Amino acid sequence: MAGPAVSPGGALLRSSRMFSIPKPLPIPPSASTFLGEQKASATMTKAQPRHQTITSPLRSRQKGDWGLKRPLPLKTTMATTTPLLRINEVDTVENITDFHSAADHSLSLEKFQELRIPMSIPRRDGEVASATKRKEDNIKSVFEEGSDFTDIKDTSVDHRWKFKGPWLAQMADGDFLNYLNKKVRPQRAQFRALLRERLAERLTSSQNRAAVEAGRPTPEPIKGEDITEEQFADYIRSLRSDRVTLYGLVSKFLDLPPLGTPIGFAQNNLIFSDSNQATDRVTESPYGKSGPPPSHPSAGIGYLRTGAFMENHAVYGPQAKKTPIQARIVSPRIGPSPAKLGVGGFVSTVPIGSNEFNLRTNAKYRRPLANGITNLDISTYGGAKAYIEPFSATVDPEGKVVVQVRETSAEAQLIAKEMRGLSSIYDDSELKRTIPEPQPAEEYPQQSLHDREQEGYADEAPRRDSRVKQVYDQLMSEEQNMLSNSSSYGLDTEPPSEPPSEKK
Amino acid sequence: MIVRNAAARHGRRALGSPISRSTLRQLSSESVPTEPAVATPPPKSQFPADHMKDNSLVMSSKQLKMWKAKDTIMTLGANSTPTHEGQSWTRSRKMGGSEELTSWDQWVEFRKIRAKTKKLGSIVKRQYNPTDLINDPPRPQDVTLELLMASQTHMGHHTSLWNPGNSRYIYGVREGIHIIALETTAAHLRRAARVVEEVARCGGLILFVGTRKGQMEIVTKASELAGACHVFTKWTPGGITNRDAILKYATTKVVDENDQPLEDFGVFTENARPLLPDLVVCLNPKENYTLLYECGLKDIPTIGVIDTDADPTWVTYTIPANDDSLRSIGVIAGVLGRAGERGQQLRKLASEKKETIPWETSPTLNDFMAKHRQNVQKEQRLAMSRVKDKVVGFTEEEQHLLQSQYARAELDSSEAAMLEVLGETATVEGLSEPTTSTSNLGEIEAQLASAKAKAGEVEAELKGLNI
Repeated sequence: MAGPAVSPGGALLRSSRMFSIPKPLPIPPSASTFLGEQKASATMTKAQPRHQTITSPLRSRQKGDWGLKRPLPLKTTMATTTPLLRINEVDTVENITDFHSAADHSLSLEKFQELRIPMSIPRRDGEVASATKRKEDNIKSVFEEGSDFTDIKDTSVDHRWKFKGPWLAQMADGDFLNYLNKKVRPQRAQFRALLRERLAERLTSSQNRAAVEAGRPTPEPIKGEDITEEQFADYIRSLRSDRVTLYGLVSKFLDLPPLGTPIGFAQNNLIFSDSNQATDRVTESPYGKSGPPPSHPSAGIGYLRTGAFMENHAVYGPQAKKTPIQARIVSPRIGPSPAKLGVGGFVSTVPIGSNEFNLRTNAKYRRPLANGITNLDISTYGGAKAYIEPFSATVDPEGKVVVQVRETSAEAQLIAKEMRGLSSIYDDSELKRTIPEPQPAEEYPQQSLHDREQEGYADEAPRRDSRVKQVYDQLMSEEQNMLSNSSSYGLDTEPPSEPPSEKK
Repeated sequence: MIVRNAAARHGRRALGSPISRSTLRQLSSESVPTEPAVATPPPKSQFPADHMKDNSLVMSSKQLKMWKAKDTIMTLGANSTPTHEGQSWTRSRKMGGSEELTSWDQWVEFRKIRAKTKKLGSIVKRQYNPTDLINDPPRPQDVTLELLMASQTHMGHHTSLWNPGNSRYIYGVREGIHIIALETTAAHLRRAARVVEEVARCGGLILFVGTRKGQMEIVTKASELAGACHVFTKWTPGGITNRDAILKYATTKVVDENDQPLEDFGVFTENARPLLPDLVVCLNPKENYTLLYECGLKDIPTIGVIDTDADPTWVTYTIPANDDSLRSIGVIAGVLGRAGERGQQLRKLASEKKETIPWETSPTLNDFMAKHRQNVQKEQRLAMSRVKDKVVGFTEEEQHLLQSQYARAELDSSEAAMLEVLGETATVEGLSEPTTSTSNLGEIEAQLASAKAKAGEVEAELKGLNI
């Protein structure tokens, strides 16, 4: 599609980088600027970026050249390891270029892409994940053909994420009244015409049915104009009592995003509604309870279609579990609300089920809690941390990315630590067949594998876990011994040659 | 003029202190793993400890970095990021156990490898280098719309800051700023380049003015190319209209057609009226209104970079472009400097071919030369009359000869002959006494003889007295 003819300079300008910077996104609704009752900090990282991030090559950056109106000051743009900027305004009335660092969102994006998790559609109400059921079974990518499309005119499709109307559940009272007055009331006559058509159809079908039963020929179809005012008023009255049908009609007319299905709604729908078609999509949409996302459900942060791939370790081969991520426990559990984890710059809730992050009343499922879960750990440098495995992420109606995490295995943790050089478990020396001498009890306080098995670990997986744990513990204890015992240094052949001053 | 002795007036500040090597090092991404102490001076010299003590400030690393960066001068010319420090084979290194490869061995090896791999690989094209704008500025024929766009000449000011006089240069609005049409900039820049070239060809005095931060090297480079003058500090108001007072102690110089300074104008260069530029190129008219106003009063044509907030009526020849970006100004000043260089070249070519150059000696210089000529003639006449008075006993023939020579010298009034005569008189003055003595040798001999005779008489008298 060729636009109007432009001059060569104009064509050049159109293809320039400055012209290709998109317009900033609108400021998100006021709900996101408040954290609970407190007002959010002005300097906090916003839930979603509004401006494009730009950068400049080093040589140009040293001259302050960012391709903008004027050179930017070196004081701020050179004294940083993250030369990433967002341009609020190219030029202002004060004759300055208004810019800020965009390192926050850019690094969050980088970290998120390092997590390698797919963006998924939020789970539906009917599929409440239980502690026993693995949540990842329900993961459905946002890029599946069934749900990823941009044609918003086609209102018949269920899994849409974009709607013409607003999401009423999120609207403030004033906004709602405004919407009613500005948008809804002017469409009154159109809606009445629609209802008339619908009543005419209904009357025609009942008339036809009666004619067929009586063996008469089908009469002329009733038109909307033929319906009397009394008939129409009666119909409206009946609709007002049938809230399910009315909501279906209204939401379809205004193209409202679906609301959460109330309890018993589906049953009522089946029994009382005159037509299932209008209300079907209310129950089908994945955004019924959570609300539609403000952007594409991937939010452009990740384009991975699935997390169902296997990682390969250079030495240990394919891994059952993904490389775990070290998450910071940013908030301990307070009353009924669980602890919060910081995963790659995104706050997420702890994994559900019986694990080291949840306190279980039932002794059968109770597990020792991780550090920093019961109370805030202020002694550890940088805060308490724990290994977890993120597996999916969704976008909530405010545009926040919600990362879902699960527990990881002890093996995966050990390998991850080895990769970081915090532990060493791989042994490539030649195997020695020696009979171990009985060790004194204080040097090896840990129980042997045999002892542990005797205690009744019948299951396979826990046994392996315990073995890994034992190897790990043994390694740790050996390290301690190395520090305390001179025999580890290979000095057994010679008598200890310590300086005499120390002996005294 | 004011600009020629700017260094004397402003001292070291005008010349600009060079960027210290350690500052350049800290900005570069490369680190030298071997011999860091030899390669770069320790950073302590940059940040003396007493500075920290005096202020009793504890700077964070971020603040320290900011402080360092603030101290760095933003220049287009200095290449502060060396991409690599020579090729590896230029340094001798050890191979394997003890065998040490000298640079020569490595050079031989390198040549072998290069001969083998010559045909492989892709062609490396020339990449953009910011310092090229200063070291090798574009010529007027190199100006393309792409170059202008890449140099940000199209970015005007915030739409609320515009001067409606510029509406014909403005292409549209984008991102809240006015966009200057690239074609207009290119056309006006070419016209201005033509003006500069022609003025330089006619030997006019051009003045480049750019007083914003970072424009110093751009202005100096352009004026160096064009053989012009430059101003990169504040324009002293009255430098044109009140130049007799402001530039009272400034000297001028008299040059020949090859711009080589001529001697023997000492009195004139000290006392002459300060010169006026024949063309003023102003890179930031908004800050130099006084200069442009003075130029207007004295009918001096001006070229100015007009951003969307500047008044285009202040200058004679506008160049609508962004005047905030150093890159944009670098391109514009570079093109004008190159145009001036071309004009100078044309003038020299013409003088080599003995063509006539349209040139008028200024009336003051003509007056001075005429007066000087008169003085010289007067002195000559005086010298001649002195010689005439001293010499007695010239024969008729000799006197006639002298008079005829003198008359011929008086008739010959061309400048070169004048200078010759000046030179002759200078040499003759020194030799005048010995020549007169030789010419009248006979007379002197006679005088000596008479003196001797007198002496003999006196001796005889004395003898007679004693006896």
